[in-house]
Amino acid sequence: MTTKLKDRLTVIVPAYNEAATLADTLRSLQRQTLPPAEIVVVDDCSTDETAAIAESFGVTVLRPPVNTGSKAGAQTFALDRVRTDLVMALDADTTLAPDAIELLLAAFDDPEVAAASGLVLPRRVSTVWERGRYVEYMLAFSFFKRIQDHYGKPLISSGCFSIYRTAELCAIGGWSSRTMAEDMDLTWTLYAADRKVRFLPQAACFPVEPHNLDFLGKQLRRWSHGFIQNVRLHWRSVLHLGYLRSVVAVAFWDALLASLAYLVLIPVLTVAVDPLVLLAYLVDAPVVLVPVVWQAFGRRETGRALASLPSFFVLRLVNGLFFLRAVCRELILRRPLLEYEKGH
Amino acid sequence: VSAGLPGIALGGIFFILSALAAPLVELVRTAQGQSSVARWLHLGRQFALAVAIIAAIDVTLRLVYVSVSAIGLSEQSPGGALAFALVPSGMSAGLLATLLAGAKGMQLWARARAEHPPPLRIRARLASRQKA
Repeated sequence: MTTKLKDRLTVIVPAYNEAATLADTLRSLQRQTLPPAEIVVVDDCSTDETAAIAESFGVTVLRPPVNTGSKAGAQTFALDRVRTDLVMALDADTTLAPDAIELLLAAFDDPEVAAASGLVLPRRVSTVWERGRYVEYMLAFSFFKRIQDHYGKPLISSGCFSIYRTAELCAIGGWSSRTMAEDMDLTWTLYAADRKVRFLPQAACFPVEPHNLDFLGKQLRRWSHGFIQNVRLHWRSVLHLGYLRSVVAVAFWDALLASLAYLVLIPVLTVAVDPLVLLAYLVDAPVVLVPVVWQAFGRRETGRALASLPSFFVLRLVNGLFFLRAVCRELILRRPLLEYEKGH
Repeated sequence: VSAGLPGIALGGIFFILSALAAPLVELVRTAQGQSSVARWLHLGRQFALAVAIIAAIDVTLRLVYVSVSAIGLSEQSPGGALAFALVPSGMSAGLLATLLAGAKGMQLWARARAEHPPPLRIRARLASRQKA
């Protein structure tokens, strides 16, 4: 059974100037308990040693004639040469737990499953931004996403580590560059085609997350604009997908209202009414603390989680700033983000 | 709700309610022969997590109430702590219900429009307005 599965999978690793992280990614792929049939690195016209590093691992290296302009473009460039019935997308800065592929492939025992993704946790947890993201992931992947999966509608099959049925992916034209969040676009497109998407938390991957505000800004710009672009693009089909409709409505409302509350309402009320209003920034701390500590305890990372908690409250202020900016540009000024900016 | 997006207020309540409702949904699935022990174990974990979050919120709100009363911003009254916890929770639940009902309303509107498109006369008027 497992040998058969092994021959079914090709991994695509899109890479643009990823010399610093690519070796770890390829090493983790080659050390899998169930190695894939083929690993394809798409060197998207890098100007560093990306191609040489990939070649040194003996994997297939493809190079488009010109830079494709996005991760989605690079991945789709390689899709034509995939001959296996399953294909995996893995970011060039993401390593896998040794059994990640084997565990994630289990999702495809169900013939209706078109895509599956696993647990995501930052590989490095040092700066305030990495710590904030660590708590965000622990929260999202230990509670929210597991419930979404239980109701059969994970919000996103994470782009950094997902497996897809090749035929389904080819039928919809591969990964699209029409939004800044190609993974969300693909997931919602699959739902619209009445296909299943799964989240399997036991299959873990570890991306490098933005360590400074510059990289973080690029990532948050893509994510905020990508979310709004996908809501605009898919709202008609999402309306008819019961649980997903509710998740998207709540996510959009929360993101918009929380941004306004964190950045406008609370500061104004603090000055105008009472400094104690500042406590509102922490009022939802239990909702964060309980699932994060629960998950961290199981991973023996309780100390790290508790030490990282304050960073979460800082990060979400920054998230709010970028989300409001994206709302203004996408919905009010009608100036959508069209250029993909790499930033982890 | 999702990494990179701020806010977990209504999302938190929504997913807590989803976790609490999951056993009922699973009972239906079990009756239809679509469940498994693994699914029950999984939802048991999420259910316990939801209960733990509710307990933690309750403790936090009681602590806030006691602190606010202690520094004299509000008078302590019998049942005050309960009211202090129930009012924001009730308002949030009401807001969530309105939001979800609004989303459902939009779906019904979209379906009705697909099944019963507006008469030609109105469509022509809309088209000319769009051109203008």
